[in-house]
Amino acid sequence: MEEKDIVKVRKLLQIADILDVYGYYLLRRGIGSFYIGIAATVSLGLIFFFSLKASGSTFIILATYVLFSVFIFAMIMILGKQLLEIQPIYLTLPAQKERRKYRKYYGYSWILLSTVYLILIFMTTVHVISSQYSPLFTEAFIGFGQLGNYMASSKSPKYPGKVLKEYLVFGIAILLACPMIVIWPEYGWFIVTAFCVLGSYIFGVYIIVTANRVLRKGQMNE
Amino acid sequence: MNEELLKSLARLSKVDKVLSSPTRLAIMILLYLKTAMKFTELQNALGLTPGNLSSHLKKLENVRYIVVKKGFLELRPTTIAKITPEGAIAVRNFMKNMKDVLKMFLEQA
Repeated sequence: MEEKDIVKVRKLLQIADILDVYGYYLLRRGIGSFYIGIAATVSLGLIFFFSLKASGSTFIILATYVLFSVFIFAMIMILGKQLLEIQPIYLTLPAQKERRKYRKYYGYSWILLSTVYLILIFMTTVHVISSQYSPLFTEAFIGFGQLGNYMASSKSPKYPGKVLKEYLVFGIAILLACPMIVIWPEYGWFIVTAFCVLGSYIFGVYIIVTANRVLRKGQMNE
Repeated sequence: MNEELLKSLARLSKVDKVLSSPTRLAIMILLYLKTAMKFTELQNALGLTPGNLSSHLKKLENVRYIVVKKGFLELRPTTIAKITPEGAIAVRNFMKNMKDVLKMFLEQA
């Protein structure tokens, strides 16, 4: 066999290797986009909330809020379109079928946490617990949610580019902010926004940026 | 080339007759990576004539590996080919089989 034939075969193998992991690359990007989407949606909600609150203020402030809202809305639309377009590839991955079996664990942890969170928020609303604890409960809810994601992800089988340790780091980072809320309760919602909303953006961007490693190494586990 | 390798190559061509054509495999690989492509994009990427590309797309559409949609983009008639979940599975399986054969080929080189 000639050398040029071997080169051709190696190139074909490279293509086959990329196709092998390409779906997992898309899946990782999809998870990253999902987090950015969540952060964008929460930001949108916050912007509308503060827009209403600031309705008595100047025209420029309101216009800025509106522009911000349009920007974030456009971002959500773009992300949603991207997710819908890549669906045929990553939904057929062998790991996706396996993931479906373990998806219930994500659901259980979030349902449990949401129930506890809603009860606590209700108690602050009816003044059984002081409302200054609301940011603390929100921070803990998101933080433990990430730890729940970590545990659910650790149960599912390994595949290239699996998001695992990232959930743990993100969860711990959020929970570390809880004492700060207790020390400076007047900045509670500011800390929640900085750690949870901004944190979700950073988390999402990190997951998307590191997705390239799946293609480069082919075997980026955890 | 030994007998086992020849058998593997013959088996590979029987696994999926539609994808055994290099042109159709190339179309499917492109669609796997890009999900959807315009007719003209595929034509330019693969250097095919419109008639040739149409016939390959028809064969892929018949086995439901792709869907071909016709519409208007910026007031111009456009044909878009999009990979289906069945197509994604087929191309992945075919490449997996091909990889095994190629590895065997390299081992014997």
